[in-house]
Amino acid sequence: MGANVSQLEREIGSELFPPNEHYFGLVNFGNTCYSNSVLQALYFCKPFREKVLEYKAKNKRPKETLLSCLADLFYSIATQKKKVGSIAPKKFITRLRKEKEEFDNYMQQDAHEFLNFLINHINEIILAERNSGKTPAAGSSGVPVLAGGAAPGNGNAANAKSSSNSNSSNSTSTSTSNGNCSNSTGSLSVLDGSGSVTATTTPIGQTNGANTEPTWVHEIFQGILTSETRCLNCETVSSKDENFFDLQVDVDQNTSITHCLRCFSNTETLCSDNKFKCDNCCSYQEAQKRMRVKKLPMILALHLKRFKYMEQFNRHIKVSHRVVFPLELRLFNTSDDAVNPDRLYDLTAVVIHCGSGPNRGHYISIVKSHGLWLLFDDDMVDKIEASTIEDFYGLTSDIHKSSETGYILFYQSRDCAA
Amino acid sequence: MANQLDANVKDDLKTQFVTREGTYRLLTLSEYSRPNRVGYSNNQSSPQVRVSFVTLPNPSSKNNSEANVAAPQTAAGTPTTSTSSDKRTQLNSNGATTSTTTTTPATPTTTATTAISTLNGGGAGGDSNYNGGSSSTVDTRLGGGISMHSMTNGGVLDQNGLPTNQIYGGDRICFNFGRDLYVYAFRGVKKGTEMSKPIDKKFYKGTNPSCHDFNANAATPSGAPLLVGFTTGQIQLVSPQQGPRELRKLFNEERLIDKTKVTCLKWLPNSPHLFLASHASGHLYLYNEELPCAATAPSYQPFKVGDGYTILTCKSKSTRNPLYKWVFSTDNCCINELCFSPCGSNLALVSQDGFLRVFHYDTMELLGIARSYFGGFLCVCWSPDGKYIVVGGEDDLVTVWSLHERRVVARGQGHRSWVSVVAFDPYTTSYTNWDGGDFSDDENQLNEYTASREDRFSGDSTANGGFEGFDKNSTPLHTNRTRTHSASFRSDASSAALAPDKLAISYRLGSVSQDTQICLWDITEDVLRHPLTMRQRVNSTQLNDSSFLNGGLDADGIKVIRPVAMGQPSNFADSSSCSPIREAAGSGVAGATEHSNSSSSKFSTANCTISSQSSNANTPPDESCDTETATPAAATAANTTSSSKANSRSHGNSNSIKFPNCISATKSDSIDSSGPRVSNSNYSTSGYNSKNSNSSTKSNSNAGSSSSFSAFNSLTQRLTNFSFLSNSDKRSSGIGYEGSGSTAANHRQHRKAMSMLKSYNQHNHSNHSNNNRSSNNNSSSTSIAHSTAVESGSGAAIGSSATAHSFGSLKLSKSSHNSSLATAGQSSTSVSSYDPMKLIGTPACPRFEECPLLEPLICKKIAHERLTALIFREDCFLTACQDGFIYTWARPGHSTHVAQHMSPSQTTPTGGTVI
Repeated sequence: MGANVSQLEREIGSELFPPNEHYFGLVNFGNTCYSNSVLQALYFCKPFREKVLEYKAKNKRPKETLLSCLADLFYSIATQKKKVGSIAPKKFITRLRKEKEEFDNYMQQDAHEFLNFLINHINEIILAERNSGKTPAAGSSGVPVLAGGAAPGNGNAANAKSSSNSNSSNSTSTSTSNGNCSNSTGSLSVLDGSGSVTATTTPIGQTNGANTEPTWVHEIFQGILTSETRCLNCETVSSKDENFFDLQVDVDQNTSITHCLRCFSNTETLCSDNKFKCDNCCSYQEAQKRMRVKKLPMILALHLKRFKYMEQFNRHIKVSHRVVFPLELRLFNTSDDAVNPDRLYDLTAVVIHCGSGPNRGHYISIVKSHGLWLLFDDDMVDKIEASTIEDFYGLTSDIHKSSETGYILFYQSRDCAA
Repeated sequence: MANQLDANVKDDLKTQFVTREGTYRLLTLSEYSRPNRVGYSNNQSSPQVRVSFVTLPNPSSKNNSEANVAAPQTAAGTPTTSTSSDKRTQLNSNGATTSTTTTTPATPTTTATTAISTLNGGGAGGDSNYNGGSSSTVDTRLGGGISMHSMTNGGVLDQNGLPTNQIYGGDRICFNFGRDLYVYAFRGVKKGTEMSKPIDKKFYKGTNPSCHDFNANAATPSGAPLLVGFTTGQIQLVSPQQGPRELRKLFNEERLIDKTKVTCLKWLPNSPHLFLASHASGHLYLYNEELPCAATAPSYQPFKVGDGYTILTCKSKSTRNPLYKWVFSTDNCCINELCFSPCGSNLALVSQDGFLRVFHYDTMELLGIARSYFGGFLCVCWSPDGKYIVVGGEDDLVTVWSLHERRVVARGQGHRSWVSVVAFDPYTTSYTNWDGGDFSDDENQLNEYTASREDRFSGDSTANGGFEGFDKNSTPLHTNRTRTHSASFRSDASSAALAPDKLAISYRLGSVSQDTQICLWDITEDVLRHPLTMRQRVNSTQLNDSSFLNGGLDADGIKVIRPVAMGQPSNFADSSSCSPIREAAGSGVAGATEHSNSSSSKFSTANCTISSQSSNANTPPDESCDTETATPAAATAANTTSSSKANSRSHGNSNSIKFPNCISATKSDSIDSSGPRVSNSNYSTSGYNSKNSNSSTKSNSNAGSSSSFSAFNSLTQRLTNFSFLSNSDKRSSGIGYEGSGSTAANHRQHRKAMSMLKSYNQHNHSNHSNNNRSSNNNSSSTSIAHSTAVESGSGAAIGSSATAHSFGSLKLSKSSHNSSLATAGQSSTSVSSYDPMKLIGTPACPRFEECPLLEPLICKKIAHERLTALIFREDCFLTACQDGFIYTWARPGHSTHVAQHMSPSQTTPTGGTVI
C-alpha cells in the first residue's frame, strides 16, 4: 500500500482506470512469490477468475479446501473498495502448506510445479464435490505423472474424448480418428533428454471412467494432444490421445515460442532402449512418433523448460536463452483433425523467473488487463509499457548468470473472450 | 514442415555458404562496427541496429554542377536553422561562406577543437595528406533535454595513401548502435574497412537514435542528407555541406507532434525535401524539411477519411509541419516499417497490429491489406518490379502478397524466430527479360512526377487546394509514365530471353531473423500464380510419406526449395493431355496481341469455358499466368512440335508481361484499350479498381479461385486443389470439380458455378465482394459486357464476352464472375474488417494449409545476436547484427582476392541465376 500504490492509480489515470477492476499485490510470506506470481496470472485469466468467483457465490459455507481459500482470496480482491493496494493471502498459503508437504516450508518452489498442483488439485476438489458420495479421483498430486498405460481399448478413450469435446466451448467434434485410435500402448511415457516429462497430462477422464463429465477446469485449461506413432517395421500408424493442462516446451537459444512449439511436435525416433511395442508386429520395433495438438484449450499455458538438470553439476541450472513470445499466437503443430486449428490466442499473463537458479531468485508476473500491462512483484504493482516485455525474453549470451525470463506463458483464446 | 527444425541449432557460425549461383563469402576485413570495440556490451534492449545506405554521385564528372546545386541549398537552409532552434549552437554560420573554397581552415566558433577541412573540389585528387586531426568535434544540445556529441572526420584515404574518392562520391553507410550513430565510407568488397576513421560519429545523450535514412536524391559528392529519428520522438536532419561541418535541423523538437519513438523514416521517392516519419503511437507524418514545425501542438482537421484510416492536415494559416498525419483505426498499430514501391507511387506499411496496408500514396487510397498469421509484422519489402510485397513478422513467417490479386500468395517457413528484415535481391532475381535499364526510365519519369508533388507543398496554399490541383496534373502524368513504360518493356520483350530453359520469373528474397540466421528464398512465378494451395497437411496416413521424415536436404546440405506448385513428375503425363489448351492460349496470345485475355475469344466451347474463365480471372496482362505456368509442364511433358510451339509462344507472351506493378492494372486498360472506354469505368477513382476486381475473383473465395485452377493442367494438382476446397469450405465441396479440365462438360461447369454461388450465400465471411458477387449474379448479362470491357478493354475481350453470352446459362454463371469483378472492384478499397478472427481464411490471411508454403533455399546461422539488417548490393550483401557489427558478404566471384572481377562494368543481373 502507500505511495507506490497511489502512484499506480495516478499513472493509469482515474478516467482510464478500468471499472470494477482491482490491482492488488500479494504479500510475501517468505518465499511465496512462486505462489503470488501464479495466482496473479490466474486471477487475470478472465475465464478462470469468473469460474472461481462463481464457485464462491455458489458455495456459501463450504468445507475449507484449497479451492475455497482461493475463491475467498479472489473474492476479497474483487470486492475491495480501493482500486489498488495489497492483500495478504494468508489463509490460502496456510491451506496450501497443509495440503502439500513439499510446499510446507520457506523454500523457494517451482512456480510451474505449483501451477500444476493447483490446477490438478482444484479439479479434483470439483470432482470430489460433484460425486460427494464417491471417493475423489486418485492421485495426480505431486510430480506430473503421465497417463502412460491408460486403457488400450480405444472405446474408452474415444468416448472420453468425444464427450469432452462436445461439452467444451468448441463446436463440432468430428472424432474421425476412431479408426486410427487403436494400438495405443504404454510407450507414450517417453522421457526426453533432460529427464522430465514431455507433456503433462491428467489421468482424469481416462483412468476414472466415472468422471467423464469435464469440469470447468477442463473447459478452461484442458487440451488434447494426439500422439501418432508409425512402426518402422510394419508402417502401421497408431495414434493416441492424451489430455494436457499445459504444454512443456524445451527452449533453444534465439528462438521463438512458436519454434519451440514446433519442435515440441517434431518427429522423434524411438529406438534402442526406447522401442515401441507394435501391436501389429506384436514386438518391440523402432518407430517414429510425434505429438500434435488435437484440441486447443481455451487458455493455453506454456511452460518453458528453463531448468535443466546438469549431471556434471548434479543440480538444475537455469537456461536463460532468449525466447521471444508474441502477444498473439496461433499453433502450427495442430493435428489434421483438430477441431479449431486456427484459434487465435492473446498473451494475457507471464510468470517470470528472476535469478540464476530454480531454488533461488524470485518470481514476478506481468499481466494484461483492459489493454494495460501490469507488473506484479509480490505486494507491488506497476504499470509497464508493452514494449518492456522484451526485457523478459532472455539473454543471448551466457555471460550473465542472472536473468529475468518468461517462465510460464498464459495465452487466452480470443473467441472465448467475446 | 518440420524439416529444418531438426538441424542442429548449435552449429557454428557460417562464414560462407553455397547456392546454385556460387559461394557467398564473409569478408572479414569489410566489417563495420563501433571504432572502439569494447568487450561485450548488452545492446539487447537498445533500438534495433539499422543500416542506411547511399551511393553518392561521382565527383569527378559532375563536381561543378553538384556544387552549384549544393550551394543554394545550403544558403537556403542556414537561416532556417538559425531561426528554428535557438538552443543550438550556431556552428553552421561559417559553413556557407567556406563551402566552395579548397582546403580552407575553418574555425568554428563553438567547441570544435581542430577543424581542418581537407575538402578539395577536384575530388581530393592531390589531397593525400590524411592526418588524424582533420576532424571536427561538436557538442550540441538538442531540444528536449537531449544532446549530441559529434565528431566528423574530414577525410578518409586509402590504406595505401592513394588518392581516393571515398570521401567524395562512393557509398556511405550509416548505422546506429545504442546511443551512437556512425557514418562510414563503404568501401565495398575491394578494400577493408578503416574502422578507426568513421566519417561521422555522433553520441547522443538522453535519447537513442532508432532509425535513419539517407536522401539519395539530394546527395552531393560530399554526402547526403541524413534523417535520424530518436526513441524520444525527435527527428534530426543532418545535411552535409562543403567542408567538415554539417547543417542540422530538428523536427518535433519539443515533442509537440508526437512523443513516442520514431520507428521509421523514409524520404519520399525522388524528393529532396519531403519525408515520412512513423511513430510508435501508430501515427504517420509527412514533413517538408524546408518548413518549420508549428510552435504549438498542432491541431488537425480531417483531410481524408478512408476505410480504417484517417488523414489529417494541420489546421493553420501557413503551411507547417507536419503536412499530413495518418491515423489508423486498429489498436497497437505501431508502424514498424514503411516502404515505397520501386516506381514510387505506392506505399506499404507494416505494423505491430499484424497488418500490411498498401496505399496509393498520392491519392491516399487504400489498395489492400494483409494480416499476419499472428503477431505483428516487422518488416516489408517490394519486389523489384513492384508486383509483390514481402513482409516478415512475429509469426516467424515470410509472407508474399500480390498487389494485383490483393491476396497472400505464399508463405515461407524457415526461421526459428521473428523475421526482422526482408529484402529482395534484385541482382539475383531473374527475369525473362531484364536489362536493368527499366529503372532509369522509371526514374526519369518519376523526377517529373515528383516535381509536381513538390510543387504542391511549396508556397502557402492550403493543402486541400494543392491536392486537387495536383490530382488533375498528376493523373495524366501518371498515365504518361505508364505508357512510356509499357513501351519500353515491350521493346525489351522483343529482344528478350531466348533461353528456352528460362521458364519463369524467379525472385530472390533474403530474410534475416532474430534467430541469427539468414534465409535465402527463391520465389518462382509458378508458386505465385498458384491460386490456392495444394499443400496438404501431412496427416497420419501420410506418415508413410518421406515428408514425415526430414527430407529436403540434398547432399550438400543445401535446402532444396520445394515449391508446392511445381509439377510432380507424375503430373506431366496428365498435363500432356491438356496441352492443347495451352497451345490455344499461347497461339491466342501470339496471334491477337499481347493480351492474354484477348485469347479467350478464340476458344471453342468447352475449352473456352475454362480458359476464358481463367484468363478473365487473371486479366492483368502482366500476369500471363495461364500460359506461363502451363509452360513448364508443357515443355517437359511432350516434346511434340505443338507443345514446343506453345512454349515459345508463351515466352513471347511472358515478355509482354513485363510491366512494373504499380502501374499495372491501370495500364493494362489504358495502354491497350482506348482511353475513353476506360474512363467510363471506375478507373477514374484510383485506377486500381480493375486490378482489384481481378484479385477479388481469384481470391475472395475458393470458388473464385477455382476458376483459375483450370490454368493448372495436371490432374493431380487439380485434385489436390479440390481436396483443399473441401477442407476449407466444406459447403463448396459439392462442387464436383473432378479435374475435368479439358473435357469439362458444360453442365458440370454450370453446376459448379451454381453451387459456388450457393456457397457464397451461405458463406460466413462478411466479405463485401462475396455479397456483391451473389447479388450481381442475377443482374448478369447486361453488365457483363461492361465489366468485361472494363476489365480487358481490348476488342478481343469484348468478343470474348460476346461469346460468353452465347453460352447461355453456362456463361451466365461464368459472367457472374465478371460482373462481380467489376463490382468487387468498386468496393475493393473498403476493407470489410480489421478483425483477425474474421480475416482468417480470407485472401488477406489465408489459413495456414490454404497457402503455398515455401522453404528456404538456404538457411544459415551467421551471428550470435539477432540480425537486424540486410541490404543487397551488386557485388555483395550486408547484414547487421544487434551487437553492432555490420558484415559484408561477397557474392560469388566477388571475393577480395579476385579483385579483377570488380570492374564496375560487370553486371550480373541474370548471369548468376540461370536456372
